[in-house]
Amino acid sequence: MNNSMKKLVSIIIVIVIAVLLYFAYNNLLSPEGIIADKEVTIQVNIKNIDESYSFQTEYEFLYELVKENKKELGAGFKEYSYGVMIIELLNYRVNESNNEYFHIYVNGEDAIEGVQQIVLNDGDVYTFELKAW
Amino acid sequence: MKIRDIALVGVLSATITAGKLALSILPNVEIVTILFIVYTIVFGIRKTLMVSIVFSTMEIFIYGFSTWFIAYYFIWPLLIFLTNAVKDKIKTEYGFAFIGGIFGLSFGLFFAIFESFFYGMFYGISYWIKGIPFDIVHGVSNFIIILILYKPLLNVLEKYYNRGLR
Repeated sequence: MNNSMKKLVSIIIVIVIAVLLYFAYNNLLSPEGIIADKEVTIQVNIKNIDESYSFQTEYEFLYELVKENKKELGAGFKEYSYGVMIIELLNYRVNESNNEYFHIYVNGEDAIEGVQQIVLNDGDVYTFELKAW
Repeated sequence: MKIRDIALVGVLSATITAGKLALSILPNVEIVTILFIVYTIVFGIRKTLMVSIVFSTMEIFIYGFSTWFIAYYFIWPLLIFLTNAVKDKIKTEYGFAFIGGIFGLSFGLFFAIFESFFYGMFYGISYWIKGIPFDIVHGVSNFIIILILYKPLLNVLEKYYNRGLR
């Protein structure tokens, strides 16, 4: 086997291992929601405006719920290489040149994941607050 | 340190910064790892460590200060020391591709350990777990890039460095 062929085989083996690792990650470690009826609250704080919404949902993740209620929440999204960000709520679009973004709190605590990974749990309160970094 | 070396450190830092920016549209696909490996072998540990300091500082100027940039001042020198320690023992590109692959795979873990000093262990663990798919991409892309580009890059740099830059 010549050197180029050896390299090609090595690359294929590594890609196969990577796919298996990714598969294992998805099945063992990635956040998993529960498909069941839940009641959750979404709060939106933009400057002096505070709005609160209650939803009955079977969705697993916060992103799905916001997307489903896009009209009611006046929501808009932007896709980045690392995932989707909410850039508009109550029809207010963040001013990126002023470094504005929607900070997410889950039950008053800073969310440590993005909107696509935040799992919906019964009774939880999800707060979006306009902030600037 | 000669003026020529100072200029060389500047140019090498610029190539790494530009290389990183050029590939920044692809998450966790970078040529920084291979460049640090090759630079360590060709230009030596001292100059490459200086390059890593300039590069890490440039990152702060470009992206703004954040806690994870502090880790840059440790993680790249770690790769440089590691490369310097094994460079005489590894004879083919496969060894360096393996090192680059493992380095990419553990990149998120290293940052998670660092971040947990600032934000707590729970944050560190979730940071690492959430980033595993990106670490996999990082490890695989490092392996492939080093396997393909290591020899041509090394040959070109050694040729020019031996010809007049030394």
